[in-house]
Amino acid sequence: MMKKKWLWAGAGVVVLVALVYLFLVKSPSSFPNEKVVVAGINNAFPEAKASEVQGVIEVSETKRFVPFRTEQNLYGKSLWVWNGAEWKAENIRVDQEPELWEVERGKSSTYHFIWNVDPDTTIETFEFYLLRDRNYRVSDGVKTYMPGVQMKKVVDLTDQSYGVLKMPEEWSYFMDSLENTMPNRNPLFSSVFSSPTVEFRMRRLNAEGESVRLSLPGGIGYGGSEYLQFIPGVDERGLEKPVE
Amino acid sequence: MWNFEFGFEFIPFLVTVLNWGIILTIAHFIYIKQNIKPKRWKVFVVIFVGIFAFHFSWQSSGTVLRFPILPLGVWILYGILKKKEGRWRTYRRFAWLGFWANVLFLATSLLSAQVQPLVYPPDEVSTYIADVQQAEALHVHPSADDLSVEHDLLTEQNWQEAPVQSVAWYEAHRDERERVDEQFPYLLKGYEPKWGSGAESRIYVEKDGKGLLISTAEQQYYFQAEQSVFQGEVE
Repeated sequence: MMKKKWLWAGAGVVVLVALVYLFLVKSPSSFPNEKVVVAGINNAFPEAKASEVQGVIEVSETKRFVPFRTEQNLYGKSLWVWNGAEWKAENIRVDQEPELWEVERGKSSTYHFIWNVDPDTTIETFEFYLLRDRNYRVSDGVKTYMPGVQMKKVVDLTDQSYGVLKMPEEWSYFMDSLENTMPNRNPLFSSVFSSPTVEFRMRRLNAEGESVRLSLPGGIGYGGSEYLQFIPGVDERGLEKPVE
Repeated sequence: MWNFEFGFEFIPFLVTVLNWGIILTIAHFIYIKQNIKPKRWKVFVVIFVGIFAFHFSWQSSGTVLRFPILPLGVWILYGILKKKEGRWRTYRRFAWLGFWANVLFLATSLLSAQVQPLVYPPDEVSTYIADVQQAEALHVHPSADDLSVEHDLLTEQNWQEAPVQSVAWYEAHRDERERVDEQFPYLLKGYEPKWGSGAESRIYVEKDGKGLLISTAEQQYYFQAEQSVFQGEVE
């Protein structure tokens, strides 16, 4: 009789532990404090020499953007991911470049532009662009026309030297519509060719609205599990202006 | 296929129901004519495995035709069932029914390819735009203006198909200072295709509001109307 009781108690404990474990694994714990985060960055990438966390920005339930400052007064970006048991620093970069974080790869509405620039920079605004070249095709007498697409989003850096910009709804709508009407989506021809050709570009502007070149080109970085797109610059001649 | 929201295709759904109706009816007749009565669920399994075959696939104008060539499923079943005396004979007809079902699938897929354009004409705007409750025009080029879409003018107008002027549009409208107006600076959002068409499309609106450029996975169509779909500016 006694034995049976113990057996039940044991089973109960096992179930309880399993439940707690499942719960803990499923939902991310609260984000670690600054000291732990700085140590985490420096452990993963000692060259970063992080000294101070500037903020923690949620981009999804399991992913955070953490901008930081370094001992040499440089500015860096770190991407943190909940791996089921703990928060881990994945990609780390110390530079002045904004990047596009593909938070959930292939799902453009989750993408975020991320940046962390020196607050003393002369750059006042970032202009992000989604571009698709105007094009046409004639094959087997069938004509197709692809309108030129140029969408712009402006970020003001005067009140936030670091931050994120979620992919604007219009942009992801356009990208999804390209995806959904991609030619040859059938079992015989897999889509090895022609992924939709949209480009992300950017301009850095000062208070006078002039293009600013980066004083600190390059930078150092540590690659992790996350997909980041470098955003090339575009000059004014590469953009279209409407007829007045 | 069971998704009744976006992308639901009614005719392929109907064809699937029809196919299985025919297969199960034939199976039923074989079953009652036959003296040895195996378990029904085993008959199901045998039919399913019998369908498995090597196909020769052929694509013609967007429809994939699959010609069954080698009855792989039937061979597998024979290999398994022959081990016990008389068992193959019990299931033989059902295995072959599975294989011949492929021919039925081929025939009905040809039929549905004929019916689909009759019910959902690919060269009519109403196939792509049926419900426009939420319709709005996104600006995809700086030459777009803040205009609001008059929903009735999208669906109630007589849209005429016209040739795609790819080269002329590409040359675009440049002035002497290299400024450019896009011929189609708007992208339509918030519309639903005709029920059951599964027609996924990308629709650009011409700058004067009197033209729609509709891209599907297969083709592109251009439609013109008398009146602009834009009625006045957005407040």
